Formats: sequence, structure tokens, C-alpha cells
Amino acid sequence: MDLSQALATFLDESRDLLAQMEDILLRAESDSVLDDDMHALFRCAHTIKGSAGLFGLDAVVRFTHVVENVLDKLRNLELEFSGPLVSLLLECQDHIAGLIGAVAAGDTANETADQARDEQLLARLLDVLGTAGASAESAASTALETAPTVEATLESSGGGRLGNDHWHLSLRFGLGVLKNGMDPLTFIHYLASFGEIVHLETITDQLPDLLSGDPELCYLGFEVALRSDASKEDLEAVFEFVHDDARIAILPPHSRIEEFIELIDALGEEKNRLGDLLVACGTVTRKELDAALARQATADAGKKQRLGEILIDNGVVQAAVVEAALVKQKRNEDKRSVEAKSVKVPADRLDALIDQVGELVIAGAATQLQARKARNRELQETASNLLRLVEDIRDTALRLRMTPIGEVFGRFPRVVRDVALELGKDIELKISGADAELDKSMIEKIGDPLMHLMRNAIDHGIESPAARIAAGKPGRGTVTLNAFHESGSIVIEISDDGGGLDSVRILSKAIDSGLIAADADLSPDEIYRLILEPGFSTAQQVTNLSGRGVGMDVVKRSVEALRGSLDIDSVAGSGTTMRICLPLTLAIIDGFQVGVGSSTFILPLDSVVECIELPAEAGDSNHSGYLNLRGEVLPFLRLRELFAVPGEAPARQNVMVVRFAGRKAGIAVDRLYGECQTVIKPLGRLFEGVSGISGSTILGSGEVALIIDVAQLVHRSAVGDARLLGTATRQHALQN
Amino acid sequence: MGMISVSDGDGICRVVLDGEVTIYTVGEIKACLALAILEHDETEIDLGAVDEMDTAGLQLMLMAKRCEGKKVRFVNHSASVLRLLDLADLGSQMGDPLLFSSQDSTQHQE
Repeated sequence: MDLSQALATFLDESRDLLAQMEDILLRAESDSVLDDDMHALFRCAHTIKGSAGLFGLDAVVRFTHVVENVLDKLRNLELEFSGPLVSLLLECQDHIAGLIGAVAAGDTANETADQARDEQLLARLLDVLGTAGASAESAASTALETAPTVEATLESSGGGRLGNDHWHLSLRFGLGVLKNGMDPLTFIHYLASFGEIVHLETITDQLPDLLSGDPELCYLGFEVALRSDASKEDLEAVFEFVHDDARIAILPPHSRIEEFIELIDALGEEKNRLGDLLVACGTVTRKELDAALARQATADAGKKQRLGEILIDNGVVQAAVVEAALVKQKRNEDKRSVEAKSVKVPADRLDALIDQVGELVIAGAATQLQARKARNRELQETASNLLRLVEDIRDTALRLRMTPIGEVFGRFPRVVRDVALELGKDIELKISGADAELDKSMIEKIGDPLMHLMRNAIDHGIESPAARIAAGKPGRGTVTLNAFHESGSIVIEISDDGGGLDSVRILSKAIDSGLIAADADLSPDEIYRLILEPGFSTAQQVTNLSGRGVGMDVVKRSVEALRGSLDIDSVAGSGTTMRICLPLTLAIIDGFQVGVGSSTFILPLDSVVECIELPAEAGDSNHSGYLNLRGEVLPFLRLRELFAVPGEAPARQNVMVVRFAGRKAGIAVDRLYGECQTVIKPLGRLFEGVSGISGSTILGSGEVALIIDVAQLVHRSAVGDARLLGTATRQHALQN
Repeated sequence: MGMISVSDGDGICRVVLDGEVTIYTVGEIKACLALAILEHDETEIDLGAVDEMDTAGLQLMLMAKRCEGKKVRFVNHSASVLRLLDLADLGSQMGDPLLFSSQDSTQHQE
């Protein structure tokens, strides 16, 4: 059904609008509000209400309508922004999101809870309206009172304008509307929310008989007299979704009789019948109708032209309508130009493209190898040209999937605000590096871990204002969210200027829960890492935000699943920094090819700092695992030992100095082959758990090479425990 | 799902509709309904169990009503049917006795 598609569009659009509302409201809380913002805010609520009405989401319409009223008053400066009002509006925004979310999920389970919240919020909104409403209402009522006098003067002016004070809507729906998932009566129902339906005639003239009629086609039309102070734009918007599929005529109050005549002509139904309908609707009086029809009968062929002139006459086409039409046109243009700048592509097509580019890279490398073997200089030249182009294509293809991390950061201002408010803390959020890019698939997966770290920073990190002031710090705490690129990875830091991790408490808690022995001798860094263990929580008081025991271990696991690492820096009294380090992509990397025995391994080039020759005295396998790198102590591993590669080590070995997350380590290998493009192929299920290896690739020669997981090796070398890689050794032996 | 059951008695065909009479079900219902109406002189359609009706359903009622030479009567309108008739202001056009008069709000306009 097409409706589901339209509904999906509505849900998407609403989410955007709600996000926009939130953004503006948050700005309103800290800054002064611009006029533009106020209008934008109103428009958001208005559009949501309008669209929801089309889908018959009465609960959303009813609630949003009241919110819209409040926003309207704010816009007209009848109300002023205040802290509590912004909070109330934010809650309302949440509630609307909830209502719409329930529609999206097709779930009516917590309807009662919603209803209670609905009523509570509505009561508060009406409270706000009540304080500002009195003057506005009296203005409206005087306007109504003056209406009859206007009517009287108009009627006396000789049938030019009609005395009715209601809109007349003439609706003829296309045969297909029902099949397209639109229900005409839902539109009428929604129309009623704009005012009072004075009269409605259902036009059944086109209805075929029972046998020949197709019940799934729509044969009905409606003539509606509506008393409402809505604008023409509003009423037109009601029928936006069926505009192509229906003939909709909307005539404003006090329209000229000629317009109705034109309408009668346009609909091509029997004149007297429609005339009667108009009379029945109270839109025209019988006398006016007869006079007009008589006049029309005597009118010459230039009538159409005359009608056109009349339309330009200011009495017919209201100035506001023209302006609204222009604005709408402009908005559509803007929208189009944005659309032109970006194209939506299904993710699986993108994945297919990247897969193919990967194959291309491998094929290119094979060609170059053949060219070199054939010792054909021209062929070598074209092959390397080709490979360079393929590299460019690879980079572009990968960039297609890159998305600014700001997409994730965007939701945090609200979280910080709400959580801080709930905890009675004063917290400022500083965001930087929101434009650092990351693979789309990773963006989706990093949101939840980040959210958790954020809440932890606010809940456990930042102290209460009183405690802060007592410690000589400003009462307002700061949480910083930062992202930047570093050697082929993206680093995301969440720092707070709170009290730092309490190592004494962490230790005692870890000993209590049996995580470590009571006499364990741990470095501060190791102590901090204890909080990443499953089931560990030091919060003395369990809040509903964090401290439920599910926590840091889940974060750590999610980060590791993305081949990233999580580090903790903490200085007692001045704050904690959580640092997540993630690879930029999971598809293709620049690699550095090395050989050990008859096997080939790949190191991610970004992690390679330099290559040095292994000093002769360190060549002995009994030598300790440390080197002297220009006065620096460098732990190193022998790849041959690590993966139990058979054969004797050559006389001269090399050491690759690699770096990950600020730590350096050396990896001793037999031979260096140099740079190569590496398409990461996932390891099969069997080898998934192998540590020390992050994937495999196919070389130009067709051989398989394993990609070294530098992060793990650096960590191992720091811990000095290469034996843990025993499983990897066996697996590798299997593969060979 | 709109269900339909038909029973004969005293030359009057009685049809009971229930559930949903909407665009999703009218095709099926129409087929049964047309058969029932055309084979009998008089048909009485019970709408008591109709819990959802849309424009398509309403249109089907109108078509049934207009079957030439046949008496078609709707009885026991459910609340959702009444609401729809009221919205479309068709209560009087149908000519069936309704449990409440829906025309009041509009009559005085003339």
C-alpha cells in the first residue's frame, strides 16, 4: 500500500522537525532567541500537526495543536521564554516524539501511560496559555462581532460579493484515492479540526450501481461549508497528499459569485444541481444564484477573460494566499537544491561497489606483478598507472561511506541538559571535532557506547556544585567531547573536569568482589582498567542513569567489536578522560608487507613508524623483549615465535616499529617487502576468535597473507605476555 | 476482516456484517452482498458488529441502497457507522431509522 510509504515519509520528516525543535529550544535556554527561530519552532509544530491530521493520528493532532498555540503566543510575543517553559516544551517535544514513535512501531501497548502524560502536559500547557490568553480572546470575539456588519454592507452592494462568512470547499476525489491509501472522510474529519463544518453534502451522482461498480474506486465528492479562521494555505495543506489525484477548489469567505459560477462550470455537473448544493450549504442564497445564472446566460464569449480580471482583483485572491504560495515555491526550490547536492544510495549497493573495488585492487596488483615478471617496461608503466587510478577510486569509494561523527554528537546536548537537571548539577558540554569522519556502519554502532560514557561522566565524574566549589573549582562542570584523526584511526575523547577515578575505592571494591587478590600489586593504569570488568560498579548510590552494574564492560566489548580500544586517563581531583580509538574503516587499508619464513604478513601502514635492523645482540632468541631505540626502551616481539613459523631465523632480521594509541612496540620479522594495498577479507567463522590477527588478504600472486592486529600486539608487548597467542599459533599452522 | 453471514427467512434475506468494512475488505464483501441483494426482493443488513468503516465502506452502503427494484435496509448501525454517516451527513439520504438523529446540527442552516 502506498500509504505505508507516505507514512514513512511523514515519520522521517517528523523526526527531523522534532530534532530541529529540540535544537532551537536548547539554544533558547542558554541564549536569546531570534525571531527566525521562533517562526521555525512554530512551523515545526504546525507541520507535524498538519501531516499527522492527514494520517488520522488524532492523538498527535490534539496534543500538537495545544503546543502550537503556545508557540504561536511566543511568536507573537504574548508569552515570554522562561526556563520552566522551555523545559515544559522540551517535555512536550519528547511526548510528541513518543506518540509518533508509537505509531511507527505500530504499538499501542503503553497507551494508558501515554494518556496520563498527555493529560498532565496538556494541563500545564493550558495553564501557560491561560495567563496570556485573556487579551487575545477578547480581541478575537470583537472581530467576530464586527463580521455581521461587514456582511450587511456587502450584501447591499448588489450581489458582487456573497454574504456568507464561511469557506466553501468543493472536493472531487480521483477514482484511485482509496487504493492509494487515502480516505476522503479522514480529510473531512481533519478539516473539522480547523473550525465548524456548517454544512456538508456528499455528492453521489457518479456512483454506479452495485453490479458494475468497483467498490475499491472512489466515486464520491463533497461540498463543504466550513466556518474557520484558518488561512487558505492551511486548508490547502490538508489536501496536499491528494492534490494530484483530486479536484479541490477552496473558496474563501465573501467570495464573488462569479467564482462559484466558475466552479460550477469547472465541475461540469448539472448546473442546477450544484447550484442547489451551494444553496444548501448556505454559501449562496437562492436569489443570488438565480441572478448570477441569469447574468451568466447573457454574458458574451469574453466571459473567461473577465473572470481572469476579476481574479486579479484584490477581493478574490487574497494577498496572503499569493504570498504564501510564493514562500512555498521558494521553500520547494531550496529543498530541491539541497536534494541536488546529495543522493540517497542504498547501503548494500555501496557495499557491493566497495567489494568490487577491492577485487579491482587485487587484480591491479596481480597485473603489476606480471608486468614486472615479464620485464616489459611499457607494460610496467601502464600497469603502475592503472594501479594509481585504482587507488584513487578506492579512496573515493571509501569516502562515500564516510559520515561526520557530528551525527552522533548531535544528540548529546539534550542528554547532558536532562541528566544534569535531574542530578542537580550544572554542566557545560563542549563539542569539538564533530566533522571528523568515520565509516557509516561504525557511526551506527558507536552511538550507544558513547552515550553510556557520557552519562558516566556526568553521573560519576562531575561532582555536585557544592563539592566543586569546596574543592576550589568553578561550580559549573565541563564535559568535553572531542574527536580527531590519528594515524589511520579516529580518536574520540570524553573528558570531564570532575573528581577523577578513586583508585582506593576501585581497589577495595575489586578485592571485595574477588576480581583481584587482596595483595595484588597494580599500576594506576591497571587499577583504572578494573572498572571495565564485568559486574563492576563503584557508584555508592544507584541512580536511574548509571550504576546498575551493566556498564563499562559492555562499552568495552562494543568498542572491541569494532576493532577499537578503550583507554582511561584519570588525575585525582581534576578529571577523567575516556579515549576510544577506532579504525576508520573496515574494508581496505594501506598495508606494509613483511615476510617470516615462507609466510607473508601485512601490517597496517598507518601504524608503522619506522623500520630498523634488529641489533645483532638482540638476535638471540633468549634475549629479553626490549630494545634500545635511541635511548628509548622499546618492547618487541618476534613474529616467528609468536606464530611458531617453522625454519631458522636469517642472520639479519628487521624490526618494524609500530604505534597504537600512544604506545610503541617493535615487531621482529625476517624480510621487508614494502607497501601494498590490502583488501581486508574477514576471517572465516573458524578463525574469528584468533587473537593477534585481524583479517586476511589475497596478494597479487594469489597467496593468502594474514593481517596483523597491531592494537593487540602492542598491548601484548606492553603486558609482556606472548604466550596468550598460543591459540593463534595453532590456527595459523592449520591454515598453512 | 469484515465477515459476512447470510440467512434466509420469510422471503427476507438477512446479512450480518462484522469487523472491518474498509478498502481492505469491500471487494470481498461487495461480491457476497451483491449476490444476496440480487437474489432477494428484500434484504436487511445488520451493521451492529461493524467496528471500522471508511469511505469505501460508506460508498458500498450507498451502492447497495440504490439497487433498483430491491428493498435494502440497514439496521442496528454500530457507533462507528453512525459516526461516519454523521460526518458525511448521509443519515437522511439512507432513509433507515437511526438510533439518533444526525441532521439536527445542520438543518437550521437553510
